[in-house]
Amino acid sequence: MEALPNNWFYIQPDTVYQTTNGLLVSFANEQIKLGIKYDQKGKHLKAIEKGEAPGRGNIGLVPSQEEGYNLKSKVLGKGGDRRFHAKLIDGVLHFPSLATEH
Amino acid sequence: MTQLELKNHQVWQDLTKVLETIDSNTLAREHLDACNYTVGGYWDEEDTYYEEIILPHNLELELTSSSIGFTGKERFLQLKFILKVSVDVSDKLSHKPQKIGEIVLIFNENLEFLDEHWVLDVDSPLLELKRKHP
Repeated sequence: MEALPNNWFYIQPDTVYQTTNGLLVSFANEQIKLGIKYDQKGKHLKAIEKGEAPGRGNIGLVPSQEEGYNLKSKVLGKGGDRRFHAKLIDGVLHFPSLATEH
Repeated sequence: MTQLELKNHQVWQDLTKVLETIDSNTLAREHLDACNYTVGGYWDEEDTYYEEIILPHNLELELTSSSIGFTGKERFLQLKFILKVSVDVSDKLSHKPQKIGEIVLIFNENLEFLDEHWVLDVDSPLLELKRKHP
């Protein structure tokens, strides 16, 4: 399985990638567009690569408060004004394209 | 067309009443304790990544803004604090607080933590910075 790229430009829609921790992730086309537009440095991809983290004080994947979603990618500092939400579907964490401010 | 008179609107009294009942400083202290005064991952203004930033335990909090809002169905409370540290100034008797950053905390209507935003002065010698080796 392909490793998760560190740049949104190299991500293909609905392809399953694996992080170093073994987490399986996939992205909808609309999510990739959001990433290219708002996350040119791939900070969210780094957060996803980091994996699940405690909800407070950490970059990474933290619990999402959005209904029907499991986790959200969290960036702190510059570029940290958006969260991308993901659903766990059949063992793959899928990012459909939901972005919120928190 | 009726213009909304926001200046004397009841909403300000209501907001003040709500905020008076919230111990914002305790909420912020609880948050700092929960993350052990450590930010696990931070991007500075130059897009430099810090694996960990440790804040001084003696930092002081100053609430600078409070707001209540909603996104769709969800209501939230947002509190913004300045983080300061009193530093001994050798040639003066008084302590001069030095700003080391800001934190924004977002809670839901049950005052459960939702999210946070940080702005830290990475040039401050009061912060302990840890960068990952390449």
